[in-house]
Amino acid sequence: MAILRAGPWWDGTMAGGWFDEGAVDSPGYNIWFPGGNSFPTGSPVNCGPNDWSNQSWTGRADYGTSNDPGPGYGGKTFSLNQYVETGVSDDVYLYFSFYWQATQDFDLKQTVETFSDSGFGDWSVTFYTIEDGAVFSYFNTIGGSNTQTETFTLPATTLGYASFFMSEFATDPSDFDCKVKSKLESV
Amino acid sequence: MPTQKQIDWENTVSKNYQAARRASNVNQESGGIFDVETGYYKPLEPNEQTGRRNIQDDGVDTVNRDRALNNRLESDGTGDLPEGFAEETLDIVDSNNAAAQRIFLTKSV
Repeated sequence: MAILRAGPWWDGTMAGGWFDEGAVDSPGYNIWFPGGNSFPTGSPVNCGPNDWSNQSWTGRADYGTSNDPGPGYGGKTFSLNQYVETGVSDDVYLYFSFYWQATQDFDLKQTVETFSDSGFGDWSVTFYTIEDGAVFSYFNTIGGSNTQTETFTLPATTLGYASFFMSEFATDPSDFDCKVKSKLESV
Repeated sequence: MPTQKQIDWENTVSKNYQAARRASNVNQESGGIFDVETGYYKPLEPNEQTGRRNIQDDGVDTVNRDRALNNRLESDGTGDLPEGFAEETLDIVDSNNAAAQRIFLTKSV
């Protein structure tokens, strides 16, 4: 059975949290207000791994470093197969989020790259659905000069929420070469 | 196909009488129905609603056709939506997670 579209964005609340964030990708407009202002709420709602008829698949990426607020602090939207990377510091994080709607399960492959010789960090993935709550949780360690990949299955749902958190910090205090770079792709 | 009464009338009534009746019966020319009881062609009964005589006029069921037309006129006959409703094209997630669109009848609450 078909699912009526939600969104285009949702802030996660049931009290009128749907909103049109169509201006996010407008040139010169940054909803994350780099410089320390509070982040806006909400993430895009996608049609499985596919584009809507008038809106491409979109994820929300938030990123920062131990120097927050400062350079490398902020966020943006991203598409499938598009790398997003943090700034370089001794402690960095990258966070992807989006909602999805799907009539069939589908897979997304995530690639995560880290860069610090002494780096160590977390890779945490969780999925929630409006029907069943937390339905999937994945955790792994990342760090060093590495590239890791993992394929995740997102279940069919009227509305699901996906979060992908990655971090790296330098175990050697003298290293300021931490960076996380990641992308999602449909498989 | 003639009825048994017509056949009987044809066989029993004077041929001259039949010819005289037929020649003088104008209703025959206008598609009247031959009445075996009187030997005359009867005019067709006009339809109460349309003034048309019956389905034999033009080969269509004018009674039901006109009733359908009247019903359409009662609802303006323009295909407008019911009062208070609007037609909206909305996105849906279709089978196989394909994005599609459907037209919904919506009403403000």
